[in-house]
Amino acid sequence: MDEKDDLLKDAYAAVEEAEDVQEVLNKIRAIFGLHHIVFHLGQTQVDTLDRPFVRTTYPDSWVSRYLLKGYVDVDPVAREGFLRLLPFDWHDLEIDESAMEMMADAAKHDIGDSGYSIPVIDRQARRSLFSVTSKLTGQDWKNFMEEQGPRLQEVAHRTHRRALHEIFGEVDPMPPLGPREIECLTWTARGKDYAVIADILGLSGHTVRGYLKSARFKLECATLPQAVAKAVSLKIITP
Amino acid sequence: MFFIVQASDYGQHRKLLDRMFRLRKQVFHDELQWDVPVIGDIERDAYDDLSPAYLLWTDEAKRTLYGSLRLMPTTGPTLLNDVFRKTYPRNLDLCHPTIWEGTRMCIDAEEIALSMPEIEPQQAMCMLLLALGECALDHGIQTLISNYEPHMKRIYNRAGAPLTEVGKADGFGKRPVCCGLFEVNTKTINGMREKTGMSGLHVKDGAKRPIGMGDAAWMSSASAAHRATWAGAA
Repeated sequence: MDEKDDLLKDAYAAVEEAEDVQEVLNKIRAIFGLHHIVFHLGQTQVDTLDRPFVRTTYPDSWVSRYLLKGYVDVDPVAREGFLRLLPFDWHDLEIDESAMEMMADAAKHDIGDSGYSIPVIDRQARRSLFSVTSKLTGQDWKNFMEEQGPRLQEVAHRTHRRALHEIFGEVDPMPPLGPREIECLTWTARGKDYAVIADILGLSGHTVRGYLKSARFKLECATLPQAVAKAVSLKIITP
Repeated sequence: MFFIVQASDYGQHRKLLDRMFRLRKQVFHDELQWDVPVIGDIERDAYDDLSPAYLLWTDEAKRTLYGSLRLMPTTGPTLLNDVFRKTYPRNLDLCHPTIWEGTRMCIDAEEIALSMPEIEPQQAMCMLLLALGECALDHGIQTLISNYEPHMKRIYNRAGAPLTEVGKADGFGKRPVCCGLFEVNTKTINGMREKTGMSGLHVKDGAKRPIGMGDAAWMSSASAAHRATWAGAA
C-alpha cells in the first residue's frame, strides 16, 4: 500500500469513529462502493456468547428469510468460511443441490451478483469471516477485487478487533514492533524512502516495505506518516 | 499437479495428508534431525491444529504425494514468529494479512525418482518453489516468509526466487536454519517462470477436482504445459 492511500485512510477512520460494528459496515460499504457486507465473528473458547455475533448490511427481508429457511446449514460461504484461511471468491465455491434453492432465493433478494470472503485469524487464533458483495461481474469484478482485495483484508482485521472490543469491552494489544520494524520506522521518520533505508540496513527494498507494512498494521494506522506519528507519540521511536 | 488443501477439503484428502505427515517425519526428523514433535511415524505440531493451508504436489490421480508445504497468515500464530523470537535477537515478528509463512517444505525424492526419473531432486524443489509462488500470486499473498537450511539458498537462486535472508537460528538440527522473505507479484513470479522455463504449475481449486478422473476431462491446459516441461527436462 502506498503512503498516500486515501481509501484505506477513510476506511481506518470509519472503523475508528463508527458507533458500533454495524455502523462500521455501513461506512465501509459506502467507501468502497460495495453492494453489501456481512461480518461474522467465530465462536472461540473464551467466547461466552449465547448468540453468534453477526452484523450485516443485507435487507431485513433477506436476513429473516435466511433464518426462517435455515439456510445457514446449506450456505457454502457459512459452511466453508471458517474452515478456510485464504480469501475466496464465491464464484469458486461448489454449489451443491441443497444450496440451489438458497441461491435462487438470494438472487430474488438482490444480495449482489458477486461475492468475496476474507477469513480472519488473530494471534489468539480467534477467527472471523468478513464478506463483501457487489453488482459487478466478470472482468470488472476481478479487477475490482484485485485492486481492493489487500485493502479489504486490512479492513476485515480492523473490523474483527472492533467487534472484539464491542463484545468484551477491551481487546488485547497488537503484537509489539520488532527491532527491524523499529529501525525501518525510525529511518522513515528521518525522511528516508525504501531504497535508502534498504541501503542503510543492507536489506532489499521489498523487505523494508514488508517491515514497514507490518509495523503500520501493528500500529493500526492506514498510512506510514500516521504510523510514524503514532510511534513517536508512544515513544517507540525517536526521530 | 500442485494444489492447495484447506480444512474444508481435509476430509476428502485424508490419505494424502496422512502421507504428508509421514513424509515430514522422514525428512525433518529422520534426515535433517530437526527438533520436531514426532508421534509414531508422523510429524505434527500445534500449528497443524490451526487449520493451515497445505500446498500438495501429487500425481494427476491424486494418489501419490511428491511434496508438500504448509501456509499460514502472519496475523495468526505462526511457527517462525514463535521460534525465531526465542532464538534470534533480530526477530522478525511480521504481522500483516498479505504476508504469509511457508514452512515444512519437503519433497519425497524416492517417490519422484520412481515415478518421474527425469526430475532430479533440485529440479523438484525448484518446481515446488515455483508452484508456491504461483499459488501465492493466485491468492493475493504479497510476501512469503520461509525457513530453510543454508544450502537451500542455491535452490531459491536456481528457481529465480528473489530471497532476502533476514534471520538465522541454531538449535533446529545439525545445521543452522535460515529465514528469508520473498516478494510475490506478477513480475517476480514471471521472473521465476523465465528462469525455470516452467509455468502454470499451481492448479487453482485443484482440491475440488474429482479424484481418479485422471486424464483428458480434467487435464487443464496448465497441467498440459507442465507435462511438456517434464518432457523437456528429460
